[in-house]
Formats: sequence, C-alpha cells, structure tokens
Amino acid sequence: MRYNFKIIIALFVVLYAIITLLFFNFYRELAMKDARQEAFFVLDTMNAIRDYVSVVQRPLIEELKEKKMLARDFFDPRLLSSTYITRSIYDIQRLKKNINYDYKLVAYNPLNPAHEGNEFENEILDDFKEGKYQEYSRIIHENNAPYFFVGLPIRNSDTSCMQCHTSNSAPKRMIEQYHVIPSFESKVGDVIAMITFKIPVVSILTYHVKEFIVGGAVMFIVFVVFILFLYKIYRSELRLQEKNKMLMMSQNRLASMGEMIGNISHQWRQPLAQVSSILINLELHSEKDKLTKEKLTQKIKEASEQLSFMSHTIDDFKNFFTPSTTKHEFSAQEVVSQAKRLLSASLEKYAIDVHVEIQDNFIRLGYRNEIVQVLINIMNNAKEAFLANVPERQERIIRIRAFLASSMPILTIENNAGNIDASLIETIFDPYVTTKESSSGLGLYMSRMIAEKNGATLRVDNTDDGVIFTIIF
Amino acid sequence: MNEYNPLEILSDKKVLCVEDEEIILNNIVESLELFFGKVVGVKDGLEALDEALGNIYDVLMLDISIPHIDGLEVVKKIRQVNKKIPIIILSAHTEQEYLWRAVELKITRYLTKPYDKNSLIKALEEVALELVDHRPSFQISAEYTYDYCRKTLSCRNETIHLSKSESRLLEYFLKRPNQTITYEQLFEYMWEFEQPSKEALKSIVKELRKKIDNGFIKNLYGVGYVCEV
Repeated sequence: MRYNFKIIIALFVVLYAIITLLFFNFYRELAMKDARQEAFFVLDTMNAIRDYVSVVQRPLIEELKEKKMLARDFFDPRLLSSTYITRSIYDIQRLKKNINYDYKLVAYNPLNPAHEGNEFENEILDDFKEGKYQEYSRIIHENNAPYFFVGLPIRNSDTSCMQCHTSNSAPKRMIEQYHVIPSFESKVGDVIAMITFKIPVVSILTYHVKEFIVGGAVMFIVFVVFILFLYKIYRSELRLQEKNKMLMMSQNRLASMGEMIGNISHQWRQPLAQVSSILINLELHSEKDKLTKEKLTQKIKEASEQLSFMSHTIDDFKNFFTPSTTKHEFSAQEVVSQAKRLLSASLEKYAIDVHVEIQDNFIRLGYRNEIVQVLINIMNNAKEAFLANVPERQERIIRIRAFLASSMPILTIENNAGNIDASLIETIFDPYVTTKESSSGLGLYMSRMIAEKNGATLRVDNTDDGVIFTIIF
Repeated sequence: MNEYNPLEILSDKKVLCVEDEEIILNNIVESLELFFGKVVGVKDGLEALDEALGNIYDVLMLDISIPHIDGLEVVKKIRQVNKKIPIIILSAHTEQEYLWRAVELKITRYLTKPYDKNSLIKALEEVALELVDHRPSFQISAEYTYDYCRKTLSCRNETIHLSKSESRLLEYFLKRPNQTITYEQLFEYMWEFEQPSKEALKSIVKELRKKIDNGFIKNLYGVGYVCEV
C-alpha cells in the first residue's frame, strides 16, 4: 500500500463533514420552505376569514340592523372586526398547535396601537403597497437571533370595511370604544395592511429535530460502517504486506545463507586441500616405509593448525548468523574488518583488493551483525559485478572508507566494477529488482531495510568507473 | 616382465611442481620425492616459467590459481617450445572455462583439489607411461631388451643391472634413436649442476657398450653420439 491510510481516513472525514453540512443545509432549506408554506397557508386562511367577515358577516349584520333585529348602533369587534376575529382564531390555533408562530398585523394608522409596525415592517408594508412583491419571506435577525419572517398584504377588499374605518360612518359604539377612528385613505383593492408571521428559526429546526437526528445518525452509521470496511481492507492489506515481508526476509536469509555457505566453502577449500595433501603425503611415506616419527609429528602439527583455522572460520560464521537481540556498541573498524574477514577467501579467489581506510573510527550503537550483513551484501554485489565486467588481469578494487562529515558518521563502499544502468539506479533498492540472473533481487532491498532499522540511510551513486554506496548513520 | 611398476620409470626423472600455497607445495614436493629422482617446487607463474624454460624437466605439475601468470597460461607458453612434456594440472577449479583451456593444452591429467591418493598415483602412472611412449620395455636388438621400470637389461633370460647414470643415459639415447646427440646436450642432461667432463661421459658410454654387446652407440667424432636401433 503506497498511499497512507491515515490520509485516506482524513480525506473521508473531511468528505463526511462536507456531506453532513450539505445535508443539514439542505434539510434546513427544506424545513424553511415547509414553514413558509405553512405560514402562507395560515395567512391565506386568515385573509379568507377576513374576506368572509367583509363579504358575508358584515352585510348580514347590516341586514339584521335594517330589520331592526339589532340595535342601530350595535358594534362588537368579535362579530365585525376581521382583524379581531382573525387574531382570536390565531390564538385558538396557537393553543392547539405547538408552533411559535408570532402573528402580527401591521397597518398604517391602526385602530389598535399594537398594530403599529416597526421600521422594518413598515418598509415591507410600503413595498407591498408599491406592488414590489406579492408575498414576502426571509430570514431576519432580531436581537441576534434568526427568525423566519413571512408577510402577506391585506387589501381593502370590500366597501363594508370603509364603513367602520371612516370616522363619520363608524358605529357609535365603536367610536365609544376606540375614541379615534383613523380613516382609510384608500380605494377598494389597495393594500392597507399586512399580516405577518415571525418564527424563530430555532423553533422550526426544533420542530424538525427528529428528522435531523435520524438523518444525521443514518449518515453517521453509514460513514462509520464505510470506515470500518476500509479499515478491514487496510488491515488485511497490512497483513499481506507483513506476510510478504516475512517471505522476503526468509528468501533473503536463504539467499544470504547460500552465499555464506559459498563463502565458507571458499574459506575451507584451502585448508581442506592442505589437510588432504598432508594425509596423502603421510600415506605415501608410510607405504614406502619412509615415515619417520619426526615427520609424523610435524605433519600432525601442520594438519591440526589447519583444522583449528577451519574451526575458527566456522565460529566466525556462526557468530555472524546468531541473531543479536540487543543493541551493542561497535566501531566502524570492527564491522568493516569482520565483513572483510568473512569474505576474504572469495575476495582472494577473484583477486579483488579491499582497501580499508578508517579516517575516523566512530562508535555506533546497533545490531552489529546486521551492519556487517549490509557490508557483505554490498561487497558480494561488487564481487559479482567484477566477475561480469572486469577481467581478472585488470585491477579489482573495493575501497571502504569510514569518516565523519560535519560530525555525521559515514561509511562508503566504492568499487571500480562499472556503473549501474541509469534506468536501474532509481529502483535498485526496490524488492525483486536485479541485474543478475541467479539473484533474488532482495539483497539491496534488505540492506536498505536493515540500514533503516539501525537508524542509517543507504544510498548509491555511480562514479567514473564504478559505484559508491554510502551509509550515513 | 609381467609385473612391473610404471612408477619406477619416474625414479630418475625430474619434476617441476608449481603451487602457491606453501603447505600444499611442501607436502606435494615431499610426496613426489618418493617417486621422482628430483623435485623442484616453485610458488608463482613467473618462477615456474623461468624454471621450466631454463632447465630440462621431464614432468610438470601445476596449480591454476597462482600469482602473476595463471597455471594454464604458463603451460601454453611451455607448449610453444615443448609439445611432449607430460603435464598434470592440480586445481580447485572445475569451471568449464578452465577445462576447455586445459583440453587444448594436451594435459595428461586434470586433478581437482582436494585430490586423493589414488588419483594422484594414477596420474603419475599415466605420466610415467607417457614418458616411455606407453612401452615399459624397449627392444634394443634381437637379444637385448631394456626395462624402463626396473632399469635393467635382459638378454636371453639373463638380467643385466645398470647403474643410475648408465640407465639415465641409455634412456636418453633410446628416446632419440638415429639422432645426433651432442656432448653439450648430454652434459646438460646428465650433470645439471656439477662440472661436466667428457671423460666421465665417455666412461659411462664405455660401460654401456660393455654391458650391451652391440655397437649400437656410434661415435661422431668431436660432436657426440648417434644411437642406431
């Protein structure tokens, strides 16, 4: 998995936030629209009631007055004032419903001072009068709280209105009640007032809170399930990766085991040949009866020297292969000479000179064998490059330097075995990249991993006639 | 004549052994000294070439991985002047590349290190037989036969013993039948380091003539001898 799981999750959280925001916004819009619809509906009903009062109720009252069934100066707002009736109906509705509709009628020169509009309301009333719009709905801010404001105009719908709203024709009882009757200075059909609803946005939202919660919860659950799903995929990917890594490790270990066995056999070939030549010599002498006691002693001594050398070699390799579980201090000199010693036989066989130059014998804390392994990997690669590119008669040199560059400990391993192909040098540390037929392509990959595990970085560059590996601790 | 040991042919022969590893060289030299009259051991290619071209050797035994010039390269140079000398290669290399090069050089045996005793003995026998053209005995005339292994002459079921220098000289003659052999050649062959003298040579020839009642060694006055067989 090249991409970072955390980044993906972060991306999804952001996406989720955006979607949630959009969702709530959408839902809010929907709620507003709903509220507006409802408000208009109620207001329309109010207007219809007003019309009913003007067109049906008042003429009926007049008729009853004509027929002397009512007193000539009868006036009761409960029967005759459309404004009064609508307000009463509103109050009843409000009692039944649990909605915070703030109902208000705003008029010019109202009979009831409660119907005096504020600056904002008068502005809208003016706009209605001028016919700028037929209805008004907007979110307004009052005392830092948002309100949903809906307004509808009231028209001077019937001549019957004029009767009461003109001082000289108003019923006596009405004048007694209101004292001053401002006149409608308008014709039938003119906008004389408006009815408005003001609802706190919060209460709209509160009204819809269940839907909000359910919607949000569903989205959240879907999101969480999605993330869990992703996480599961990520985990299995991780496990696969881990498995792969283990496989690579064991492949690499097998490969380096093979190489090591090759090295051991190189180291042993010489002493084996020596012991064998000693034994043959002894046997031949004995056959010819020419084996003196002195000769036997001397030959046994020679042979046992070789055997102890072989045993020493195998110990060297055994130490190298024992996995170290704790970090130890080691010096540059130590690791370099150990790597060189382990490879000495094959290096000698292929006439490869190793020049070691310890300018600063720095001390590091880490897994010493692992660093040795990195050196061995690199030197083995160099050896193979020499075999492929440099004939034996030419100089084959591996130069190992240890030094401090601005107090940074650095080990470089340089060879003159030819360059690495420019197209390959970028990927040389990737697993399964190799230039050799018989190689697993894991050596350098593992070397870099090991270096990183030991807090070092490993890089490679081409030189004039070879390559240089740099380990920066 | 049936039971002969071809290795005895080697007892008056001279071998050059080239091996860079001191212990192995010492042991091989010691082992070879049991069979050969003289063994010289050197450690690198240059020395080997010097020695092989500067002195007369009967047999060469070389390692391939030796300093300066590799063993096969040394053999190649020697082959340019000496096509016949039997050569044993002693090497840890079994790569095809080496084997092919060795085949072209007419190697008698290619021993791989670590070698065992039997293959060494086999190789030495092969070399010995090669030295006598695979004829362990040589019919000098109707009556006289020379046995390379025992270094003896036989004449009508009678065995005539020869001294070391007599047999060595006789073998030299038998190897070059009907050829002119100069005194100088003989001096070099017989007395490598000692001061050679014509008198000594003449007395050996005289002994030989006495033992082989036959005029097969002819004098070439002032030049040397010719062996007519």
